[in-house]
Amino acid sequence: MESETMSRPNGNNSDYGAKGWNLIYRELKAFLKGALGSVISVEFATVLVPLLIIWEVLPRSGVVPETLVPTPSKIVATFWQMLIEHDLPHHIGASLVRFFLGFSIALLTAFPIGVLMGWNVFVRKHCLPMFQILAPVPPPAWVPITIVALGVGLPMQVFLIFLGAFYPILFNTYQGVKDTDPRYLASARVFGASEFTLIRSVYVWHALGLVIMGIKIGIVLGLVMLIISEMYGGRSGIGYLLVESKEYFNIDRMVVCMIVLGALGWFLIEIMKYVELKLAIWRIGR
Amino acid sequence: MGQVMAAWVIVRRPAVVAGLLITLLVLGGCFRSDSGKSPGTQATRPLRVAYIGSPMAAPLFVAAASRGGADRQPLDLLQFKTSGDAGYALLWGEVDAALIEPLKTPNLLQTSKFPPLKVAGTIQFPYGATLVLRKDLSLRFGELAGRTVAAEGEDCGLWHQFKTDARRLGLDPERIRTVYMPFEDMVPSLEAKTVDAILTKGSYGVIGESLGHKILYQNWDVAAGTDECCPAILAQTVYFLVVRRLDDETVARLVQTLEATGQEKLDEVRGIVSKQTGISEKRLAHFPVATFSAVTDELGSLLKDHAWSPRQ
Repeated sequence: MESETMSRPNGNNSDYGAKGWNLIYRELKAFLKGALGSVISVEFATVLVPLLIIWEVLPRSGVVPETLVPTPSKIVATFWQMLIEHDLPHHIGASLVRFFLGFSIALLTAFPIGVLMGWNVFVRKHCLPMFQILAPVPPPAWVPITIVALGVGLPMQVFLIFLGAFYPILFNTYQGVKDTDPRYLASARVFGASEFTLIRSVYVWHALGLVIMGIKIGIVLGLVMLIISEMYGGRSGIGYLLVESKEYFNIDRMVVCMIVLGALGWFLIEIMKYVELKLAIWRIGR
Repeated sequence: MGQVMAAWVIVRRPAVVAGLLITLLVLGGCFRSDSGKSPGTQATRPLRVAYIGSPMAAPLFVAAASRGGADRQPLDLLQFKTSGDAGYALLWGEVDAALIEPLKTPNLLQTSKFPPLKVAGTIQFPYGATLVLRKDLSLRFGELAGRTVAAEGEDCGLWHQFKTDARRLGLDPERIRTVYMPFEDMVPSLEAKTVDAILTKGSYGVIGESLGHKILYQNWDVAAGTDECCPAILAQTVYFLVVRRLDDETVARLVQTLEATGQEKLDEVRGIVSKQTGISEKRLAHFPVATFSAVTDELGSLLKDHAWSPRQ
């Protein structure tokens, strides 16, 4: 009976369910409002609509060859065709799996290393020079050596995405932690905070804005590396579709792939903006 | 008065002047690039031909190496990684002709309305069922059970022939995992390690072996074009020779030059191919040699306006 009482403090379990759904609905609404707010606006429409009209009219009137510059209407039709006949959702899914694997590994390694380097001079002096030497090597330059070391399968693709996302997250986290205002640290120490508490409650929160910025840059570079990695190995993913379309002179399909990638990147960045809004609200007004 | 106006425009409206200059530069560039590609100049210079480095380009190698004969068309060969890249080079006028794989050619021909692209001939190679094993694997024919093999299609004649031969050699073909893909995608899949072996046409077998993969099985006694997966007209076609904005006389000379390579001695052809591809003559001696063929009436009727013929 006790457990029943605990699970239903107000005597009605459905209240929690309704509140939960309400919360999800409210948050989803807030996310969509934030994400689509700038896209669905009169100001943007005044730029987008004329551009789309010009894009549609120029190839149709023969000013530019329609075969090389497919019209927006043709692209919409091709998108639908790829969705139905060419397994586009499967390719998007395959790319997303690779991206999240590589990106998660980057986040789970770069964030703690960045925090440790920013917090501790000993760790910083030992590790920072190595990352400073390796970071300027452009991630695509790692492709040949990665193929030699890991072949052309999933490990190679995940590693390249990891490389793309790792350094922006690492250096932003490091910088954010290192620049923590000493007054906050002194205040916390006055109240007897341990070093672990300082990291958990002061350093990390102070660095959060920069960390999210690093994650956003990491998402963009991770997507770049996703496409590069899919161009080299495997028979699935948007990068593969893009190269295959190029190879078979399907220019409309190439454009669809580019638009899908753009939408994917935009969506992920919007998620991070939403996370920033929720976690580091003090940065939003800046 | 005019000079005063001009000075006023330059001083007071620098953006207008800059815009005019840019327009002039762009127009100048257009005219310059256009004049460089005028059809009249092509007879006097070597034709730039795009190809992918494989023994299948043998007629091109021989034609380029040949010195004799005033009626021969000199060729300047440019190697590309894929026939897609070669196709784009052709579209933008960086080359005058390119070898393009059959499945890719229809889209390429549709892509360019002006200048129109034309098929001037084909590279032919005997059909033959060939099983190519990935270079990092060391398997015998009987050990293919459980491995992934790429085939063109379930109803493909090559696949039926392979199954018959496999049973005869003691391998149950039902125990092989099969994935289906076009012939054009098989060697890249082998390189990408997404399959363990490919069952392909003789031509792709040679291309695969030239990349270091191993041929495990080969049967040349497969009749070409008896199935839907590879119609007779395309069965032995490895590449189409696609030309761009060339006058009839130049194309005729090019076709004649390439057809003449079929009369060269096989050893000499293999020597030239070996020099161009780095594959030893001894290895090339195991295979037939690719030959060039002009557009036949049958192919011409299939390609319609996109086929080049001497009658044009």
